[in-house]
Amino acid sequence: MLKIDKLNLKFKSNGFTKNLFNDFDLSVNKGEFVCILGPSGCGKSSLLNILAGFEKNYTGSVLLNDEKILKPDIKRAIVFQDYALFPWLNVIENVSFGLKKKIPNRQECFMQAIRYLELVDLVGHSRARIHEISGGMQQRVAIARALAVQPEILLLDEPLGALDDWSRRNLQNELIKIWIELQQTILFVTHSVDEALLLASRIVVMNVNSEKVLDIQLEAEHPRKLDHPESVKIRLLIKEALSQKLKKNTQENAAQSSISDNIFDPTI
Amino acid sequence: MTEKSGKSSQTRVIFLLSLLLLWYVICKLEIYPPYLLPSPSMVLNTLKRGFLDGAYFPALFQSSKRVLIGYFTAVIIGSLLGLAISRFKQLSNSIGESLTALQSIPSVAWVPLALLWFGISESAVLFIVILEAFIPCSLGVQNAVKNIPPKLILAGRSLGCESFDLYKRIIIPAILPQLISSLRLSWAFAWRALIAGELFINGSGLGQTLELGRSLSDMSEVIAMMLIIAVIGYVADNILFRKLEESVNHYS
Ligand SMILES: Nc1ncnc2c1ncn2[C@@H]1O[C@H](COP(=O)(O)OP(=O)(O)OP(=O)(O)O)[C@@H](O)[C@H]1O
Ligand SMILES: [Mg+2]
Repeated sequence: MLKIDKLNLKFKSNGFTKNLFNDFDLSVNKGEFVCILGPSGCGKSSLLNILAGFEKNYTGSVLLNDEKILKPDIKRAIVFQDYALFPWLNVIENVSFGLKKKIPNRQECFMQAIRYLELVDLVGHSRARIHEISGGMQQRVAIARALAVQPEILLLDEPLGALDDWSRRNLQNELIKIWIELQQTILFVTHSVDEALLLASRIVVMNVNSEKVLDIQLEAEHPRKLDHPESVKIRLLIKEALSQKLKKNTQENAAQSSISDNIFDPTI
Repeated sequence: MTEKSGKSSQTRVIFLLSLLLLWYVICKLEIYPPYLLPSPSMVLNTLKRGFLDGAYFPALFQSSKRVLIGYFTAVIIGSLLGLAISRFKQLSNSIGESLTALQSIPSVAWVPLALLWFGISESAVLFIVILEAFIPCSLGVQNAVKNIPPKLILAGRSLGCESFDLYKRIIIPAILPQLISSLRLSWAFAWRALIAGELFINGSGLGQTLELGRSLSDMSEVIAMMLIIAVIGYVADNILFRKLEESVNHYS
């Protein structure tokens, strides 16, 4: 369904060009829940920006259902870490924002939006203003807003990174519920290995050079436990993949740049 | 809340009354002759006469007409220009920066040129008003657009908004609070520019009446006009625009 082939992205920043994704490949099937892990700066957000259609100066082919991705479209909805809700609209107006074109009738539009508010347990707050609800609730609104347009793929860029533990755990469960109920294809960027282990049906790990260093399927049933044998095994694989490549990389780049300790900090 | 605002309006009234009292006392002590500093009652009489025999109404009408035409023209030009400047980088590098320089020229400095170009006429005043009032509006809009969180624009685009829709559904609503503040600032500039311009042209208007008072050495007329100018300015700024600002605040 999603097919990325030989992806390259060039940035020109203060004089010199930086090349991201050296011929990066990735294929995602319908209904997969793919978590992408990788050190800061490896290009996870850039990848989602390309998929969302914000960044069109890439080379290589990026196809969603055989259609080249060149501009934003409601087929590909995105959720950001900082919610990006529209503060001049209330909760339900935010959720129905993307539906206006498809459903001109305001009442029907709201009916559709309500279904997605139910999905994230926020019907009771449909008339609330954005600043009146908590961060966790705001992120649920953002997720409902993205789901309401019934996208073929849902892109999430560290969506739970700014939340407290309790809200994060809640939202993780909601996402699993949504994934199962809607059979939604999801591409989820995270910094937390555990989060990926709890959620994903497949984990992709990138290294600092934006190369794919691990691509592994997870079979365990949801809800998962982190001490499940599969989780334990895959966590080891992820850590190994990251540390190997980091070491190799450090040696390679030692002359040019020193890599700081916090470049990747898997929260265990 | 109501108690608090009650208190603050109480303070305001007490302050105004003490000012009035001070004025009255200075006049009573006859420190300055009445033709330099007329007493409050003289000014009050002038005001009463002006309104009762209707002499002030044409002036009020003409001034309002001028300022409203000038102001609305200015804010339309200013907002559109502001949007255009924030959209196109070349515009921002050229016009955008000269606007800031232009803003530092006070309206009276334009009077000689305006009189030369438009004659001693209505158009000269309109020119000054528009020139003064469009700049804060344009700069304010530019600034507001620059401050929209980029993620909001991206979110809007990925939810199906492009070009015109993006302006209608994201950019305009996002800048609305700051737009209203700019409109308020533009109003203050327009109002000052109007009075400054009117001092130099013939016909009827608040500025002209004030200038007439000066040439007849009728200081109570001058002060009466100043009071009217202050009250209108205050009402528009602190009541009209304040209400408007509160009604579009995203967080209230
Ligand atoms: N507009 C841009 N211009 C120049 N360089 C950019 C631009 N956007 C991203 N980059 C560079 O591309 C690289 C990847 O950035 P990106 O934001 O995709 O990383 P990331 O994996 O999402 O990092 P993080 O985990 O910190 O969010 C970084 O080195 C960054 O400096
Ligand atoms: Mg990122």
